[in-house]
Amino acid sequence: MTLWLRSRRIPALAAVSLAVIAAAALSGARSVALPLARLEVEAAYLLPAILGVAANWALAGSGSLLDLVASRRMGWWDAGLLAAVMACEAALFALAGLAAGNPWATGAGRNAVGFIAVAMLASRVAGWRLGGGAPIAVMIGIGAIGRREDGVVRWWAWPLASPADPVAWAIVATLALAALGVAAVIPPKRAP
Amino acid sequence: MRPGWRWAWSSSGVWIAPVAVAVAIWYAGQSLAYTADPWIVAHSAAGFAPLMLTIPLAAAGAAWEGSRWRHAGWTAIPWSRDGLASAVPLLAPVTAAGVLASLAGMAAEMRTGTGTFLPDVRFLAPAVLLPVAWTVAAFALGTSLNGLWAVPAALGGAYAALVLPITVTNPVWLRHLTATRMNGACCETSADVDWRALAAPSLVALGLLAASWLRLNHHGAIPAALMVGAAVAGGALLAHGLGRGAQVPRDPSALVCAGAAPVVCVWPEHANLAASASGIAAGMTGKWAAAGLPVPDRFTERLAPASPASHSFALSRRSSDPGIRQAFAMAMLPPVPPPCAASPSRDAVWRGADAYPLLLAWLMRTGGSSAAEIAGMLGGEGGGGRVLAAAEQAASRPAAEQRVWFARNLTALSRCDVPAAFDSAP
Repeated sequence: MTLWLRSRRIPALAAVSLAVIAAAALSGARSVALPLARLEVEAAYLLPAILGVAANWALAGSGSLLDLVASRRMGWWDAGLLAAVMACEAALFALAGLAAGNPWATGAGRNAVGFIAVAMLASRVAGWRLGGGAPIAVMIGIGAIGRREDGVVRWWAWPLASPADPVAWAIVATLALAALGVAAVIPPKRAP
Repeated sequence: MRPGWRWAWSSSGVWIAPVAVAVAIWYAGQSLAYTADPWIVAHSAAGFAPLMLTIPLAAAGAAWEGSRWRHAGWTAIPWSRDGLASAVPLLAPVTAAGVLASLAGMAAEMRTGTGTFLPDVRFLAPAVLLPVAWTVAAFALGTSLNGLWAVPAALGGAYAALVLPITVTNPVWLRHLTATRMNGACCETSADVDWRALAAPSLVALGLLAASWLRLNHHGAIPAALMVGAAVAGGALLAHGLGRGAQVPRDPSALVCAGAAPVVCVWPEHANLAASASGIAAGMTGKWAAAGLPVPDRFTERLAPASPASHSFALSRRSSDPGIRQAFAMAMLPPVPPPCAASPSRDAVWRGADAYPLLLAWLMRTGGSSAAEIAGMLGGEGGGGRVLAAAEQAASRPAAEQRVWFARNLTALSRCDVPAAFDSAP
């Protein structure tokens, strides 16, 4: 159990998470004017993409030779860990939002779950390196085309949606369930 | 599988190339250029815009390749060859993908805007240098970092470095260090690109390239960082004086002239309008002269302060006859607002602002435009009907009264304390 947790780099992931959450909370409602996004995008919505990268790096320990010869069903353990990480991130963002009075924190927590799920899906399907790039690519891509010319967020652009948008929550929930599924069922690729 | 094929298919550049080219062509189709005219310089400048998406993609691939190199242990062993030369087999496909996407985006923009694929040759060097520098830098990053971090860091870092400077409004010249927003800075049809807007991003790219070479040859991070810092400082020195725009007056020898009294000179992009504009100008100036207005001998699209002999005007390729008449009428008026109204103190209120549409309507009416044409120009809002009625009334007065009324309103365009005169009665 200890070796398993250590191989998943949980302390390092926790440190990165706290740093990102602090940065998102401190950013308040500050926004970044991306040239393609037609309107400004809240920085707190974009920062959680780093958590997707960090989670991908942390969970890449499951691609080790040790895991491949393990007698226990490591996929289920990893799926459980992934669920715990997602729940913790969402809860920590909500708490940080309450503490800092950041109105975007709930949306940032939703995005953290979404980006982690995207990273897990990409890493199990296409490998760990792509898993790291996927959250950033999703952030840039949706930032580029996720808004209509009149500034309205498109229904599928979950990272840009307001915290009250039920469709964005539904998309993130679907992504999270899919990520948990692939983590449990699809064996990890060899880590670089 | 032959070694050559194995080499090609194992590179991330092979699958990045079609994605990056598709993204570049898509983005180039977003009507990015400064002008809709087929001005080759404006569309060449707009061809840089897709780089903000294609360079990060290529950089991610290069970081991937660098991490493969690192993973294979090549960074840990001594070698006698130059580091960059050793990296070429891994780096070449992904660098080629970045350059290909850059040129494809530029060609697509040129095709959309000018009908040809070839950009202005001055833009080609930075269009190649920028993706080369970023991919080499990302490769160097990949040799230093775990691939799980290097790929997203190259993707996000290149995007942030290319995009964030263009969102900064103070200092606004910072955007010229990336070249990705050159479409917002260059160029009107009457202007050419300022060489500093091309030199500044090229210098930054060269610094990035030199820093990467240092890193790939086992030099420390500090010399590499100093190299990048020096290049950015040099680029900043070049870009410092540019402001938001990056254009200089265009060579007037390109003007195409037609007519004799007055001579009408247009840029080659408007050559299709030269004959009709010359005829319209002759008709309008004849009527204005009959009304007692001094008229110039020449109307030119060259941007220059008006003189009694020559006035500047501006057309677009799609200008219709009413648009051409409006352009000549505007050329007869001084630039607005007057300096007193442009003062940052905000204390000065320009009381004569209505004089501009008033005189414009009078010039067009006197020059032969119909009332409906002028009403269409003025629009229904903002007292357009009142302006047209006042201009119609003035045009029906004796010539001497019209001249007095015109002179009074002309004064209102150059001072803040003189109100517009709607009433043309003496």
